[in-house]
Amino acid sequence: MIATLLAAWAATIPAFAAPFLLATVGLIINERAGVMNLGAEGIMAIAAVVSVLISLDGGGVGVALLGGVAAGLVLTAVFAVLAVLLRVDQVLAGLVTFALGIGISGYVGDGYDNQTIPGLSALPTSLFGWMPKTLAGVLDQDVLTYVAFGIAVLVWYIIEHTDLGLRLRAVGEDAPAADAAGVNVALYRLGAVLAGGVLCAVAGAHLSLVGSHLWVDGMVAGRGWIAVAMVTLARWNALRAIAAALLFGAIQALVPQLLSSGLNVPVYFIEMSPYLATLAYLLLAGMFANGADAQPVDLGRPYLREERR
Amino acid sequence: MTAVRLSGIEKSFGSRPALLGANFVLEWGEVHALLGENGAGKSTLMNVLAGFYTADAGTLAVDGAPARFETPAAAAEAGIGMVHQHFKLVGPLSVLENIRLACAKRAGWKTKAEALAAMQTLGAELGFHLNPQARVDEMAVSDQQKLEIMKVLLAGARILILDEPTAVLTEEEAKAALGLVRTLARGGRAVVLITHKLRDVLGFSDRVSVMRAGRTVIDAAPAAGMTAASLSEAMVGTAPQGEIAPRTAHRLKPDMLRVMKLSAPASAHGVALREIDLDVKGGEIFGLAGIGGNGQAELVEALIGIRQLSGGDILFDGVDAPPTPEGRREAGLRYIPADRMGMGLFGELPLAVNIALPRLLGEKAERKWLVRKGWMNQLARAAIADYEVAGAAPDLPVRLLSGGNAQKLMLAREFAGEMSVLIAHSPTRGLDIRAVQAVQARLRAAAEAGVAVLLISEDLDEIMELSDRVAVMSHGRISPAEPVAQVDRARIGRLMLELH
Amino acid sequence: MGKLIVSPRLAAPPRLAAFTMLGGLGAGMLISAIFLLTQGLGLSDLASQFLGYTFTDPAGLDQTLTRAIPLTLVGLSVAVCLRVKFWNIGVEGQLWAGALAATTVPLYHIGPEPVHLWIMALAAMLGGGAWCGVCALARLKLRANEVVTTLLMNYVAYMLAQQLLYGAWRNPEDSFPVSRAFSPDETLALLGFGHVHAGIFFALAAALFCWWLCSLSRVGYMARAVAANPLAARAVGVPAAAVVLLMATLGGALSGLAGFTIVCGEEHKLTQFIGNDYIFPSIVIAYLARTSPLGVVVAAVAVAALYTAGDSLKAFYQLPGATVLTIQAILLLCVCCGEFLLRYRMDWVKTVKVRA
Repeated sequence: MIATLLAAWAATIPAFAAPFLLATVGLIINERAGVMNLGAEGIMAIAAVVSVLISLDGGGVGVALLGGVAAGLVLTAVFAVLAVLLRVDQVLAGLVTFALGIGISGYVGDGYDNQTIPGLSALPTSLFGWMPKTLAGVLDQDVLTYVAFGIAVLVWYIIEHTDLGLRLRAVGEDAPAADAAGVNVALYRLGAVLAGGVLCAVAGAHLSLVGSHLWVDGMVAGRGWIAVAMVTLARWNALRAIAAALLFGAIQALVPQLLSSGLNVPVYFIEMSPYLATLAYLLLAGMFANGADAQPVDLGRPYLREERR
Repeated sequence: MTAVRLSGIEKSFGSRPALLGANFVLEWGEVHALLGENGAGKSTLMNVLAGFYTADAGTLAVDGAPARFETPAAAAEAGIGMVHQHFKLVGPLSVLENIRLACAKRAGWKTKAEALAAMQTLGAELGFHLNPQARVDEMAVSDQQKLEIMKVLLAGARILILDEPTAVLTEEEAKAALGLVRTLARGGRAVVLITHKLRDVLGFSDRVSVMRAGRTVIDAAPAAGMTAASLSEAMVGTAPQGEIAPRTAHRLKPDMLRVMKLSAPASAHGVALREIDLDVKGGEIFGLAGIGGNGQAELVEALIGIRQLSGGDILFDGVDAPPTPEGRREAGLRYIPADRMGMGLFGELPLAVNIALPRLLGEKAERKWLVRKGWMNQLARAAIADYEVAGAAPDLPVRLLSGGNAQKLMLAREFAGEMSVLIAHSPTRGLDIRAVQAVQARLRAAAEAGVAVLLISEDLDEIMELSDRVAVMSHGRISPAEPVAQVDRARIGRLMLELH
Repeated sequence: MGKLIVSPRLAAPPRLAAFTMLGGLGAGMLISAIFLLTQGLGLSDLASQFLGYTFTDPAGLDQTLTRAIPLTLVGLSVAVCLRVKFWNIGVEGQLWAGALAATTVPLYHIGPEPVHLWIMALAAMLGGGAWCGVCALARLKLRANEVVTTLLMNYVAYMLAQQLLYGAWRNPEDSFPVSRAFSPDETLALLGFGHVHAGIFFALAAALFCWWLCSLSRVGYMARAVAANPLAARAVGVPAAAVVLLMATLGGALSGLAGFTIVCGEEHKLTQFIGNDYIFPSIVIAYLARTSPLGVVVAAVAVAALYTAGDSLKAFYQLPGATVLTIQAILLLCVCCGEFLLRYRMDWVKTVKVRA
């Protein structure tokens, strides 16, 4: 009984973790370049709804994904203009993006609630037939989930080991010094924001195309906000983000399992635990390991060469 | 052969002009000193050459061909590299990462290994041995400077601009760095040495240009023909020298400020304070000389109570100083910080709030529950009148004041109320002659009124002129104090060396 | 060829400040109006919904004022925190914490019955204050980014409330996930005008108190100093950490008080959905009011009116509930753009290519 429960739980974790992972990695790209985007929730929502609308209109999964990403990219561009070009306080710009995304997604999705779409299903089970059953359950995921984990590794490699990543980090750590070294700060920040927005949008599309196979108003349900906090938990490192996403995904995957099992457990306390864990981690990091040092120094600070500081 | 010719360069920041038609000519193979007081415009002029600022007017030619640099990258393309006084290094990154960041494109390195090899080759040539993996913000300042010079050279610079390169170095380090600079120039490059130290000019430069108030007053004269006197006169101009009134004899009150075995750990980029002993008497000016960055800022912070100590005692008039900054202010401590907009004034806030704020603090606050604008404006108007703050109004944001007027405001705020100890850190730096005289007169008057004045300054002339007793600070330590009559420049230089 | 040079203005003339603010608001309203017109509304519909119904119709005005009570309090909460440059993204969590703390008083019979209401208000302020105060402490002592901590604390409070409502506090009579109803001693009196309750006095008193604190007391001037230059503030003797802690805790307490007005004034029990959708409005209100406490009251009424109009648009024109959020976002977006014009100047500089 317990073993079946655990196996069923483990099999659902990757798909729960993938949207967290995509959004968190996207925000890590942003923040390593010195930009904090609180609008992830809105970008995810708009991508989720547009993907569903395209699917309902008969579009294939690939087209739906592309459409969702394009919609998310347009919204991200609004944030990029506000935060990078107009130098609006990043918290404020992020909140505007959040509200625009949630508001517009509610608008365009109005009347299409709860209409199911085919979505993206898992790879054929036959591929995994030769494996032990539990492992096959865990590995039998859809393509997009695999892509999510692949992207995390790729982004980690680019940020930590390439010249592109080096310049990105320099912009986030010390924009004036990066400027002096010939890096175009605004261009790198714009690029980072847009790239991060694409990943947030893929995360949103994953929610509707893989997760729910439908659109409901409010279905992002705070995952974009959680991603903002998970960046801290991952210490701005895309590889660690995999672990953080698996933690949050595991807890979220656990709740439906528990509810369907009929066990009498404090569900909301269990749901609360990853938030408490993140808070505890933040505080412990501050207490011991010079934790805040992992945060890019110029995070949240707009840069203009003519402003002498 | 002329490497660079700048003529008629103008540049202003907002409505504040920094350059008013400055000229500069640099030849290949020379070390050219660019001399001037703080605020004379020498750094701004070189920032124009290096592409950090774009000039509002004027022409620029490199190797005889007209040029205009919109970005530092464009200047680097033309072989111009600048080492700033405040290093342009990315602290959290490693040495090698900083080098790759700055030079990979221009040097054409494809891999980390190539970058490492190039760095090690140049390091061997110059005699620099830096750990490529070390985090830059954990390195000593002199090593950071070496990294900056390597960066500029690896990026292919043939024209090297060094902004105040010796300001953060010890005597031997400075001599080594200047010697290296000569070697580089003799190898066919051209080097500009921005400085306000006569020693750098007379000992290590081929030619010298002097700037004053945004203009070039000496244009590329041979350094051999210059003397300390002629250079200082060119730097400060022939402004009327104020009559220095002889100090009236008065009784000294011992132990107004006493510091015993004061120690404090170094913060990220700073210097540790090591067992500092100080004794400033009421009625005297105690001059603390030394190169900036040797613990002066840390000492000021420790005395006003915003730096964690690891040991030692601070006593005011024989009793332990209160632990908090507000307590110390109530006990009569006042301060003038070196960076008045950083640690003294509130640039965004109106002048009236800047003036009134200290009176709202602590147990003896003059207003607690109801702070009226009228009361603050009245205080502000009185301060503006008493201290002759020009161009000021009670509701003017302080950042709009010029340096001299902001400093007068700083004095007006700090000198109000019962003052018994005054810490003045570089109080006249960057001010014009008249403001300097006004500030110095206030310091003298404070001492004559019985205040214990601790004057911390890099300006030896100021120290010698104002102080009753003198000590030297270096590497976080302080030498024993000596009466000003018994010391001269040579003695102070020796004291700095002995304090290692 | 030319190039756009952006540089900060040294001093912005006050008239330009007013102009950019009004211009931003005007542009936002214009865009919102065009947006609604494309949704099939006529001009006269807009006028009657946004101006007529929300302010002159008793039912509309009732709804507007009732909603303005918690909105004023959460707006003040963000504004007070912003006075020390503390981003409070956690008003929902603090509101929940306040509501939970208030609810403990009737559920566990704390204190004498006749003064329960006052104890509840106090408890709510303590709960909300603690919820925000710990985030301020974490920032001061452990350098934890308050945007992240206040955000996370929203979820902790929400989950805690749901756990209690599905567990220990579930209504024993009908097993619904709501607390038992409060007694009349534990509710805010109605004022004889629809649903408007005595919480309005709490909100107005809070605004007056914040105005006094920020503009007349010495604490307000210390806060300005800390916000303008923390290092100079500490050096001159402002107890900077204490000021930040005080303002953040007060901010949390105000949000907690908003929770109190909702459970005691509107719901008369703890229900499941009291704390939803306050984060963005609270920011909009504080920002439009430029953190002025009295301005917050005006902005809160305006945003409340927007919600009233949104509700009726939803009912009569079948516009989705997201309308109000979208309009708020457009308004804030336009005001932010206006702010940019205020803070920076743009010059078109002709580049002359001299060198080949």
